[in-house]
Amino acid sequence: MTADVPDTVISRSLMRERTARKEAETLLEQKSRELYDINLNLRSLNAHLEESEGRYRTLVEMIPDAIWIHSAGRVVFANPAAYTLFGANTPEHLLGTDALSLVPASSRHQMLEGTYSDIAAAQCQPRCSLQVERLDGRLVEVEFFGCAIRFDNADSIMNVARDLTERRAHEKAMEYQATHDLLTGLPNRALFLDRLTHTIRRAERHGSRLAVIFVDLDKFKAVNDTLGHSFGDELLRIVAAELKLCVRESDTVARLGGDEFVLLLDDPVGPTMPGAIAERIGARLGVPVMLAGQEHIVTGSIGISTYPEDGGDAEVLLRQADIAMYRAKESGRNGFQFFTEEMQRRIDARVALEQGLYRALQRNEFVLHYQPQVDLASGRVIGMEALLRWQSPELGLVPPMQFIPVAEESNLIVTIGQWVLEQACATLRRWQNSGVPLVPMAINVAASQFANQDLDKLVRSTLERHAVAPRWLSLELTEGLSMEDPESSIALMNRLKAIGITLSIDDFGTGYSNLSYLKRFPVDKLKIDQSFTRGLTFVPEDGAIITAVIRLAHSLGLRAVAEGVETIEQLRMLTAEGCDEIQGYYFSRPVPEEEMIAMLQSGIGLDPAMLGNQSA
Amino acid sequence: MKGVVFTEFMEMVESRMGLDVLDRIITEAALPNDGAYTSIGTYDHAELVRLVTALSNATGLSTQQLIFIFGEQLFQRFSVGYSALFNNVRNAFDFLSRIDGVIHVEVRKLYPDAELPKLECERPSTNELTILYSSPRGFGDLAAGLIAGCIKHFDEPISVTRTDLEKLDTCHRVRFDLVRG
Ligand code: HEM
Repeated sequence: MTADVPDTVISRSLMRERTARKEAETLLEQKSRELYDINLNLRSLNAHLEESEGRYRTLVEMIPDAIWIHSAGRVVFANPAAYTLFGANTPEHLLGTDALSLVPASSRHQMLEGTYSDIAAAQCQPRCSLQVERLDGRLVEVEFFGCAIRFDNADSIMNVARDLTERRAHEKAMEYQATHDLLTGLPNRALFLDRLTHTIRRAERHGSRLAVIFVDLDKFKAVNDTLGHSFGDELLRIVAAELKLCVRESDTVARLGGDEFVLLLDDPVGPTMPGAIAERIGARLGVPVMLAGQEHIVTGSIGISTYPEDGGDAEVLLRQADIAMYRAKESGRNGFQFFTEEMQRRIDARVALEQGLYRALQRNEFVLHYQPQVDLASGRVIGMEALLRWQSPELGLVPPMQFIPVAEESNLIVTIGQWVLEQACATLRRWQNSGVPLVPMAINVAASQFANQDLDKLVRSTLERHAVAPRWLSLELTEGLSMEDPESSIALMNRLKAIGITLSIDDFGTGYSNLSYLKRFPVDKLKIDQSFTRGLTFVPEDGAIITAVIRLAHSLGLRAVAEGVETIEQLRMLTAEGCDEIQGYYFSRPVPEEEMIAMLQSGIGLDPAMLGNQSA
Repeated sequence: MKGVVFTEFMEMVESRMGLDVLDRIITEAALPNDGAYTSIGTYDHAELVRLVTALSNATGLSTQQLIFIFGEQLFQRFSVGYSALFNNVRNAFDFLSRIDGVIHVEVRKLYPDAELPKLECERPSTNELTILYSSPRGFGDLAAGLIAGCIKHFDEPISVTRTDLEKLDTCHRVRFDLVRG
C-alpha cells in the first residue's frame, strides 16, 4: 500500500512518528519517575502501617481482656487472654472452633443482647455479665460485649470478655470479712441478725419455733489480763469450737464481740430443748481447758429468748436473751435463765429511772438536805453532812438508795457528784455572805468519782470559784473505794488533804479494810456505820465493834463519828466509850436548807450535862 | 483530550483511507505539533475537531458522520484493549449503565487529567435505557458512535433514538433512548 505513496509523505510520517516517540519517551520517563516517587511513599506508608499495626497487635496481646473474633460461625482470631480464658494450650485449639460452642446455651441470649452493630454503640453501653464455656467444659463468669466489625475482608463479630472469677473471689472474701468474726471464723453480729430475721420469717410461715441463746463468759477479762491477749484469743477460739459441738449443723453459732457468743436454734424439738442445750453449753464450758500450760475453768452465763413467746423481732429477741443472760450472771454465774416479762419490766424501770436522772440534772430536781454533826465534848454542832435528795415531779421523792446505784452504773454519778460539790460550795458561799455561822460541810464521794485522778483539781477549782476556804469542806470516802489501787488512792488523798479540806472514811466497818493501808490514809475521821449504832444497845457484838473502832480511831489519831444515833441510850453508851461526834435522828434528821440555817443561827446543841460525860 | 483518542483516530484514517489522506488532513489542519501525537500525551480537543473538519473536506462526509464512525471504531478498539472491563457483563444495557459509575471512574484513575462526560442512566423498564450525555466538549456524536459500537459488540436488537437537548450553562446535552427487542 505504501508503494504508491509519495516519498515526501512517508518521510513526513516518519518524522511525525519519531517526534511522537520522543515525546512518548519523555512522558514515559516522567511517568516512571512519578511512579517511583509514589512507590517510595507507599513503602514508607506501609512501614508506618506495619508499625502501627504492630503496636495494636501488642496492645491486643497484652490486654487482660479476652478478645476473639469469629466470622461465618468460626473463630478466626483470639488473643492470649482468650487462650487463657478458654483454657487453650495453643492457638490452634481455639482457632477454627465453632464460636457458639464457647458460650453455653443459657448465655446465648445475653450474648446477642450484648453484641452491637458498631464499636461506638458498644462503648456507650455497660458490659453485660454472662458465662462462657471453656474448652474443658468448665463455665466462667465474664463481663462481655461484642460488636460487628470487618476482619480480613469479612463480616465478623469481635467478642470482648473480662474474667470475673478473681473479682468474684475478692467480693466473696470482702463479704466474708463483713459478715464473720475473723478470730473465730464464726458469723458476726450482722450476719447473725440477718439469719435470725430470715429464720423468724420462716418460722412465721411454717408455725415453727426458734430460740436465741446468749452466752457471756465469766471472768474472761481476768484471763486476758493475766495471760495476755494471745491466750485470751485462743480461749475464744476454743469456746467457739465447743459451742459448735453443742448444737446441730443447722443451728448458728455467732460471736458478737468480746466474750459474747450467741446461738440460734432453728426449730428446736420441744420447748425443753433450749434449756437442755443451755445446760449442755454450761457443762461443756465447765470442762477445764489448758491455756499457757495451766488448767482454766471457764464458765459462762446464759440467757435464752424464744420465738414466738418473746416476740418476732430479731433485735428484740437478741436483746431479751442478753437481758436474761444478765439476770443469770446476777444470780450467780454459770447458770442460765429464760427471758421473762418481769425482767423486761425491771429493765424498763431502770431505763426510766436513768432517763429520769438525766432530766433531773437538766431540770434541777436535785436538792441538798443537811444533817448536823454534834461534838459530844461540847454538845455543839460542829459540822453537817450534805445529803442528796431527788424531788421528781413524776416519781415523787426518790430515796437515794434507789437512784444512787443506778447512777453509779450509768456513770451519771460523776456528773451528779460534780453537781453536789458545786452546790455545796455555792451554799457555803451564800451562807457566809448572809452571815450564817459556818460549820464544815461534808459531801459523799462515789467510787467512780474517786477513780478520776483529777478530783483534787476539781475540788480546788470549785472552792476557788466560790471563794470558799478549804477548811469548810470535807469529803466522805467509803472504805471500799480506796482499795482497788491503794497506792494511787493514797496519793490522791494526800493531794486532797494538801488543799486543806478534811477527809473521813464513811461507813467504816462494813467493808474489808486493810488496816495497814488505813494507817497510811491521811484522813481525819472514821465514821462508824449506822448498822452498828442501831445494834449497840441490844447486840453485844455491835457494842464490841464500836468500842474497837473508837479505840482504833484514837490510836491512829483520828476522831470517831457515830452515825444513825436515834436514842438517848445509844448516845450515852457512845459518850461512855469516848466517841467524839454523833449524827442521827436523836439530834436531828436531815433538814432542808432554811432549817439548817435556822439551826446554825440559833446555836442550838446538846446539853453536855445530859450526856453525863467527863466534863459534866 | 487524551492522546489515545488522537492516535486511534489517525489509525482509523490511515487504515481506511491511506497514509496520504492522513498526511493531507494533518497538513490542512495546521496542528501545533504537526500531528506527532502519542497515546499517553494530552492535547487540546479542538485539534481533534480540526482534524475531523479536514477529513470532512477531503471525503465529503459530514463531521457528524465521521465522528460517529470513529466512535463505533473506538469502541471496538476499547473492547480489545480493555477486555478486563467486559468481564461479568452480559449485555449492552448492563455495560452502558456502568460507564459513568465504573468505567470512566477507572479511566480517571489511569489518567487523572482525563476530561470525561457525565452519562446518567435510567431504566424506565427492563427493555429500555435512557442515557443523558452532558459535557462542555459537545461530543454527542462520539457518544452516539460509542453506543452503536457497544450494541454491535453485544450483538443485540436495540434501536437508538437521539434527542439533542438545550445547552445547560456550558454543557452540551444529548439524550439517547434505547429500546431492546
Ligand atoms: C471500554 C469502554 C470505554 C473506555 C475505556 C472509555 C475511555 C474513554 C477515554 C480514555 C476518554 C478520553 C478522555 C479524555 O480525552 O480526557 C473517553 C472520553 C469519552 N467517552 Fe469513553 N470510554 C468507554 C466507553 C464509552 C461509551 C460506551 C461511551 C458512550 C456513551 C463513552 C463516551 C465518551 C465520550 C462522549 C467521551 C468524550 C469526552 C466528552 O464528551 O466529554 N465512553 N472515554
